[in-house]
Amino acid sequence: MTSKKYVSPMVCGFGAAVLSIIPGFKAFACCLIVPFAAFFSLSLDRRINKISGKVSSRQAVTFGLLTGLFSALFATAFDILLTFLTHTNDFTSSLPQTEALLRSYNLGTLLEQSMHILKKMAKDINNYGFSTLYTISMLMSNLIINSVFGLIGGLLGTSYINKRNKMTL
Amino acid sequence: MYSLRSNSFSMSKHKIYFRLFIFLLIGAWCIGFSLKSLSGGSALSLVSSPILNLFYHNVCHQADHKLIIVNGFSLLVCARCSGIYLGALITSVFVLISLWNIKVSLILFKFALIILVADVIINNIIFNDYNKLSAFFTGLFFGAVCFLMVISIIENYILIKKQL
Repeated sequence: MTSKKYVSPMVCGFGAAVLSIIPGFKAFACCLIVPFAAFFSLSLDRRINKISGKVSSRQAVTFGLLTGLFSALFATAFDILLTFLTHTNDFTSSLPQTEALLRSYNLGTLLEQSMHILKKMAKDINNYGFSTLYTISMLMSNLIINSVFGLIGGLLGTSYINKRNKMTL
Repeated sequence: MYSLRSNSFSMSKHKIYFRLFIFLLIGAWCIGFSLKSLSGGSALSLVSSPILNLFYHNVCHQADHKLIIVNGFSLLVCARCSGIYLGALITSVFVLISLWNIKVSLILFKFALIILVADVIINNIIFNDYNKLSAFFTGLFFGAVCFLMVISIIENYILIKKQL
């Protein structure tokens, strides 16, 4: 795989990440936007390199995974940037409600330990606009989820492209 | 003849391991979003819920009125997402037990996708009222078909090609 071939997953991953930070679109980021981005990256690569044959399964897996990884990296970067600029995010705004709900269950010291970590994250975000723990957890979750959904999108896209090719031949 | 037999044996062995791995992955994913309900609100599940919530927030909007309540506790993903993941889990069990040679047509996948999208449009735009039951069952069907589709592509194109 030459370095030129990284362009389409990077472009589509970036596009998916941009769409995923739009409020309302965020919920569809993993299950719709990322798989479609993987499919588009496959199509884009074929158009750039003027390939008309069958898409190999290896290509599908590579493009799906790469698009997922790039979208995860960009989405995390955008999330961190927005958090840094606004000093707030979904996590910090929903934490008081979560805490109130959990306190109603009387969980004792176990809850205190868990809340201590979460509060530290929220405090860091409110004060500095950045929390290392939050960044790591977001990055890990985005990497896992987006690469899986990117892979699914790549495989389904391959099936679609190959079927379309068969019909046109 | 022998080599053919041994080849098919190792193929089925690969298939079993692969399908078991996928089943465990989906199982872990489903346990994650239903931990509170499955454990009946155990202390550990309640304490870990904010962290799990943060994780599943990436895959679902988690709107309160769209969550299914089981055993007195709501799942961490909406009715449609629960359906999709449970559909995949149920199918993974059947696929693991039966060891079918899966082949799913793209038309079936398109059909499931159209039903899912139609339900989204009908529920959210036309009637403007969310029906958890229809969301769950259309999700269940789509999850099952999507899982079969992905598994068939992986097994037919990647695992078999690798063996030959």
